[in-house]
Amino acid sequence: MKSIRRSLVTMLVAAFTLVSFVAALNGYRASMDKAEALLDAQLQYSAEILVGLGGSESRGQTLGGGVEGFVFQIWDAEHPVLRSAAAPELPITAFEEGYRYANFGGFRWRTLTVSMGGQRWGMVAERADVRHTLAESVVLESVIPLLLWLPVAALLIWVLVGWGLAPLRELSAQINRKASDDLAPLDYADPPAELHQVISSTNGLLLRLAAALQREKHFASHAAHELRTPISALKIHLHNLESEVPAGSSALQHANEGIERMHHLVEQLLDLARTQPELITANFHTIDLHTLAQRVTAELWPAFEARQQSLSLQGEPATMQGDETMLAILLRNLLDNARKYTPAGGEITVFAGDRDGTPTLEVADSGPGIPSGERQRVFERFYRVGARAGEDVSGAGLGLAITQHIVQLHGAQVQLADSPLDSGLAVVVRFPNTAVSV
Amino acid sequence: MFLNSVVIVLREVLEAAVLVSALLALARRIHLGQRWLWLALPLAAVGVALYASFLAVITDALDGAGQEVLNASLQAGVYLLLLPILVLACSAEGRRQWLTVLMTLAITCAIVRECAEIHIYVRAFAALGEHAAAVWAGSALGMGIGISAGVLVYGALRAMPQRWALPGCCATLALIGAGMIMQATMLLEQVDWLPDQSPLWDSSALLSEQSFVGELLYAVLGYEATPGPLQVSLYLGCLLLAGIALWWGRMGRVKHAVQD
Repeated sequence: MKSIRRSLVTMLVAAFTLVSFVAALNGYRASMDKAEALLDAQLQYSAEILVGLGGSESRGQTLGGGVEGFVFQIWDAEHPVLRSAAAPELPITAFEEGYRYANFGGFRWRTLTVSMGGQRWGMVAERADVRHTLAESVVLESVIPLLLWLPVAALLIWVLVGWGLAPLRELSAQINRKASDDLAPLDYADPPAELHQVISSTNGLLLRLAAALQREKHFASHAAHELRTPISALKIHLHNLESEVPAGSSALQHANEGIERMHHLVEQLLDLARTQPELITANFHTIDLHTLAQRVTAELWPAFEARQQSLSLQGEPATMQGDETMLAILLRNLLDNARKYTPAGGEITVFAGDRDGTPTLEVADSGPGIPSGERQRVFERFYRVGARAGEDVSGAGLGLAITQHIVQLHGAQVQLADSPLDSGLAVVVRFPNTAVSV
Repeated sequence: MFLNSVVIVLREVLEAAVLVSALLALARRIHLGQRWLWLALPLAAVGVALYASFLAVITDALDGAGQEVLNASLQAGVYLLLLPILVLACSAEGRRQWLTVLMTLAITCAIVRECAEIHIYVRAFAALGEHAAAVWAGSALGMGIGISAGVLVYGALRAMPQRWALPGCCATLALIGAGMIMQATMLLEQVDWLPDQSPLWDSSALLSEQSFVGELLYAVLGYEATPGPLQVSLYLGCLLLAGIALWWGRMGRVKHAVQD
């Protein structure tokens, strides 16, 4: 993932390194020029001292010892008067005042010629490489710390950029802390100018979202009433009609089935709307999952008996934090699916209890199951597994979408697995084993 | 010694850094990832080690022209690898494996070419005890400037507006590639594999090759203050070829879009 801090630090360190190193390079050049000038001044001083010693009338005299890398000569009308031991016999430079470079003795030399008045000349020379190394070693003393301190500068930049991005982190943390149903505006006192627009836009968005969700909530509750009432009326009319038409009328049977399907679809749609985590405020209490499962299985038992299916409940009391109404809808949906897709005479088992220390609800059937490649898609709204859709099973493909909503609401996890029975599907819901706060 | 170290290391590092930056920016633009870079680095390390180990053999080969010819070949190789990279990057999605292989090879060639020289130089001069500090300090400074400039070039390419990002990366790569051919011709002229020609112009008074800007332009454009007619012709020819590669890639994308 792209990190603003990493990008900023990289660019800033690169810019700092480039500018400071180029400046150091220019500083090095200027310092070397200055050092050269100082060494030239020192050469001039040496030459002037030698001029003072150059009064001897003897000729061709050589002075022993001397300093390494430094030579001199004193000439009188192009005749040698005095020279250092390391100096060549020939003139080391031209008989003309000024600084020059010359090559002798296998080295390059910086030379200076001074006139002592009349025909007398003083010549001094220093090895250029020695001068350069000396000057460079001095100048490098100011360059090397720059290299050594670069990691410290990079660390400082890292810390400072981190401080600079603190308001962004704070804003991000505030948004993360918000509960899923908390659509109140962000409360950020005195935000930096760069975040002002972001906060303002986010608050506007939250406001519009809250209004939209409120409208949807109202629609769900109004639709529940408006849709259920005519369906109930239709059911009554059909019931009355049964006494007026011949018994076993296929038209009446189809009308009854159609009404039942419509009733089921409306209930599913309303459940889907009611269970949306963004829409509802869950009513969490401490509940016993096993007791809840007992109640729901008992309620649905007649429907299973009508198909000669065996329904068994296993497990033990398991307390957890949850919304009882929602969990009942969840289990009802899972049992409805199991009943519909398990052939007559099949077996359905329910487990409600602790498994590995986690409150777990499992509904397993001995039906045809769902191919593993399709298991993720069945949670999509209106999705029905191809092979099952061909069977004579009514349904809108909303049951598992509703289950998914309720699972999300409880911070639980749902998994589709192979049934522990001979064939079929097992839907396993694992709830968090700590108290849920939503 | 310090200044020499800066110039030698900067010249080599800058070129490799700008090439890596342009390819990284291009890879980000076409969502290719960075696997090619992580593949290229160990390959380049092996290449540099082999180059340094067989330096004497390489130098003596081809009547003493071995090192220059090998370096010129590596640079020409980088350019030839950049051409299909430009075509594939500008064409439709897919062929990612080819791009990964080509980018890996291009970076490997470039790093072997640049780092082998640095390795040889630093090893030779740092062995002279009295100059070691100057050589290491100069090399560090040159490397720091080169890598920093590369990072900033990457930042500039990434900061380009979406519309200009891909053309910007491709144009930078085309210029680097043509610059490498320019340098290769200079190397071959040095060993008389190409005729030495009188320069068409001398712009050293305007911009010295040794200045920082001169070094940067050398790395990106192959700047030469006194280029001969052959160098200029080859440079322009390479740019034209890169332009054709870009056009070809773009046509491929348009064709793909029409078929879809």
